[in-house]
Amino acid sequence: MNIKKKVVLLGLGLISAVMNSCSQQYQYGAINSIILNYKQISALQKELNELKKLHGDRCAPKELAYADVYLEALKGLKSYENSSFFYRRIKVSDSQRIKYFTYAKEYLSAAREKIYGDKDGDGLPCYVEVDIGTNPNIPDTKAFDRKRIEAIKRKLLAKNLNKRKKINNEKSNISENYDTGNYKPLKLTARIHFDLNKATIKRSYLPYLNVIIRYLKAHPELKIKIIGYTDNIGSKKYNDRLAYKRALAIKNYLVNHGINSSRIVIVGKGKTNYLVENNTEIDRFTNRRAEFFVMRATD
Amino acid sequence: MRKTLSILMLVILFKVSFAESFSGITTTELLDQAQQSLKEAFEAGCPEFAPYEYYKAEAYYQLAKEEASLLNLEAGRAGAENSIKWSLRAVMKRYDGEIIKNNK
Repeated sequence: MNIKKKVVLLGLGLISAVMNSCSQQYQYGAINSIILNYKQISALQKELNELKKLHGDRCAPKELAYADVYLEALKGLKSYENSSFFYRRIKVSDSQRIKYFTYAKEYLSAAREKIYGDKDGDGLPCYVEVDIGTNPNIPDTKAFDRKRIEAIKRKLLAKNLNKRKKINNEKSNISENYDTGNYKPLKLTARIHFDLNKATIKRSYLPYLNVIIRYLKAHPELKIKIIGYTDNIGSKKYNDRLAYKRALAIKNYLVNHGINSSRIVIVGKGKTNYLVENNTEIDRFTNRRAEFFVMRATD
Repeated sequence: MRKTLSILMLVILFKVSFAESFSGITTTELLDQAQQSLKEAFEAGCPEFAPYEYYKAEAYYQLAKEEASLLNLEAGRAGAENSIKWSLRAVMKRYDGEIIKNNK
């Protein structure tokens, strides 16, 4: 082969390589116009992970596997073809992505039904049966199993009752808190937590407060009620004062940012209305809080 | 210097040899291989003993077929590749006996 032919062949090779890369660029450019947003996909992924934790691979393996694959296709299929160390994601077209998103959603809902379903009719959902080591497909007839199952059923029932009680308590608290003056609640806007024995607002909560300030400035007819709470450490008197200080700190912040103080009502409730039991440091942190209620005039 | 160069050459050769693992095969051949692996997994009883892995392989295969039919060959190849991988995992799990039989 003479030099001219070699040069021509090399040129052709180069041109095809450039065209190939251009077509890939075009393809990825089209995919960049994402129709499904990241939030939607990550919400599905979160749900999938939760179902996996509930023994999804045992209760609904097919549904979960299909959902997993379609979700991966949404993010781009992993390919190790050009490298043994690193993978790259191969994207699919937008129309296919919408289709796969629907499939993933359908498979996830089917998986959820199976995981929370009771296939053998013994009163226990599949994930609980896998948890305790009984067969979710066959009703448990052994006396030992039945005893265990009864105990677990009672536990589940008690847990549900506790949950309901908590929700009812919270509802009654809210209605009690709102029931003052000619104002009624719009919604529970935000909750801010405090460090132990402190009434200073943490920097991480400032953006929430700024949102509330903007909202209050945009709606001058609204009032706000701030209620401070504490954990169970210390005397009642001290905690009542601390709770009031917490509410006051937030009021001061709002007033400094242009909200009229007449629009803000503060209450310190201290050692009451716990959100969770005060067993751990995290639980106590959850209870050390100030809650906001935005209210509007009833008439 | 020589040592460094020789190590570098070895690394490059190693990488290239792995990179070539699927590149010589057409998409159709890769899909056939995926189907064959899936069939083997099915015959080994994977739907019963390693269902999650088996169905994942099946899902990848379906996806690969669909993408290849739409001429998105790269995605088709990636799907087939993943399908083979999961079929192998299913077979491995089936013979490792990770699934406890009393839960059948």
